[in-house]
Amino acid sequence: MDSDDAILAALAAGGTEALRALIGRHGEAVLNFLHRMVRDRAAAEDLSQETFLRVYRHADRYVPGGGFRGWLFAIARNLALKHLRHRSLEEKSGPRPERAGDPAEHAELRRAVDAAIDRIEEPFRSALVLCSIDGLSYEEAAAACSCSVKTLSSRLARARARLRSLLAPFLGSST
Amino acid sequence: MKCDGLPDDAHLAGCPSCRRDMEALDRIEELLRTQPRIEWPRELTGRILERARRRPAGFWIPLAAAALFLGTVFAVTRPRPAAPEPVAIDRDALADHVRAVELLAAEPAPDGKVLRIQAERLGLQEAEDRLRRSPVPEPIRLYLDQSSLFVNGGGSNRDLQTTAVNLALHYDLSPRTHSFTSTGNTDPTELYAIGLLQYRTNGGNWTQTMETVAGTSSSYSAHANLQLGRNSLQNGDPVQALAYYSSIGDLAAENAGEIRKAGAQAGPVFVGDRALSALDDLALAGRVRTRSAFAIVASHVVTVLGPREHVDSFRGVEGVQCIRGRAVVDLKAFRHDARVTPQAREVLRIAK
Repeated sequence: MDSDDAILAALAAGGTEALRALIGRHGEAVLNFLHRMVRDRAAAEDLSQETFLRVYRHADRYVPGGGFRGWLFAIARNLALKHLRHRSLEEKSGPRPERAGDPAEHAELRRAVDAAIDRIEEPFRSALVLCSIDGLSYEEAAAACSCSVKTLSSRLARARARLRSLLAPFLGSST
Repeated sequence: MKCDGLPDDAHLAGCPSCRRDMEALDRIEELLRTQPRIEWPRELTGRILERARRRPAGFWIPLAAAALFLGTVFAVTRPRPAAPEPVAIDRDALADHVRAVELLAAEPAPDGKVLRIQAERLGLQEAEDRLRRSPVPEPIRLYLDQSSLFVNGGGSNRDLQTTAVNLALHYDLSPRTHSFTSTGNTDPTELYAIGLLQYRTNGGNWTQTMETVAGTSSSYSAHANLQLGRNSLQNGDPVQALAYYSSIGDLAAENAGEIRKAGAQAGPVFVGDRALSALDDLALAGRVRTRSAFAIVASHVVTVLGPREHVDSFRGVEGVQCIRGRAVVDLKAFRHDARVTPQAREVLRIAK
């Protein structure tokens, strides 16, 4: 099984081992995306579980060649947004993963980057996380966000501009 | 300027300020790419597979053989000064319009006011028998198939609507209420979901709000759907917005601008087997134009719903059946040199 489309076809036929393969390929990316969206590890794990179960249940609805990653992250994103709608704004974020070996000033900058990402509103945050962090193509990210590539580009530009503005003190830039 | 808002190389060569900004951006991008990542916990895979094995993919009970039966009964005493308690039912099943519904026997809640029915897999007849044996008077029976929720049962409309709204709210089904119907002419689920949205947004008196909704005037429903459509558009869901706009009747003409905007954002819409049933009406006999035709895609069959001019262009084409304002296109038999509108052809090209 060497392509997402082939795995999806096996899933649609009811193969749970195909689901294992899919999780192995994309699980970590989905989990990290959801974690950045909902900022709560336990919730991110629950939502990851729900994402893959929905992929499993609706595998027969996937159109081969339609861009699986875009579809997958669209499901994850919708679940994240639904979770955020129901969650109180006062709830605190959980601790973030630290990168071992980071010098102190890098750690501070990373915390600043994390905080800045949190301050970027939807739908711009999704665009930034999907493209700049999770490495989706513009087409995949546009599919995940249910928008055109042009709209996604616009959102990404605004997210980057906002990020530059929020991180200006750390980067010594003019913005 | 490139399409993603970044200055191009020619500009950067002559602008130190932008060069500094770009260097800052590059540093940020590098930091984003190297953000620490959470490792996937191995036990999570096991949990997912366990749940998947309990519910096979692609399971489907044919509608004719057994309308999927979910028995959920709320017995709420009157008067009702507060919103009814939610009911514990299989969230996954309802939220996804799942094809297989699980049902257990009924059990009364400790205070006797709310009956809760949990879930296990049962056939329709056995589920009916269990409900018949339940101690709750006037049960509400809900028949769930792939795309519709049929509400049929005794008691007043208020019982039906209370049931429906609990489902809609507790499991966040209100965006999907366009697929719910009832055995009468009203759509209690949608109306009560609207009522509850109002109650939660504006406060006020619960009973009065529900009685207003129970009036089920078509103009109320139209205004409510218009508001729901706007909410969906603001939330970045133009497809759902169009589903609501399809039910605003005469209000569509004066709100054509925002409907066009939703249509432009939605683009070609592929909704699998979830029917957006009124979208040909959304075309408003040419008063609203979108840049796409709406379609349902199932395997090699594409059902083009509208706008009307695109559907009409399929008449007489081999491999196409025009049925009740829809063009059902069998891609395997369709003559691809047939003269259909460019928008319809674009939909078929994407559907392939």
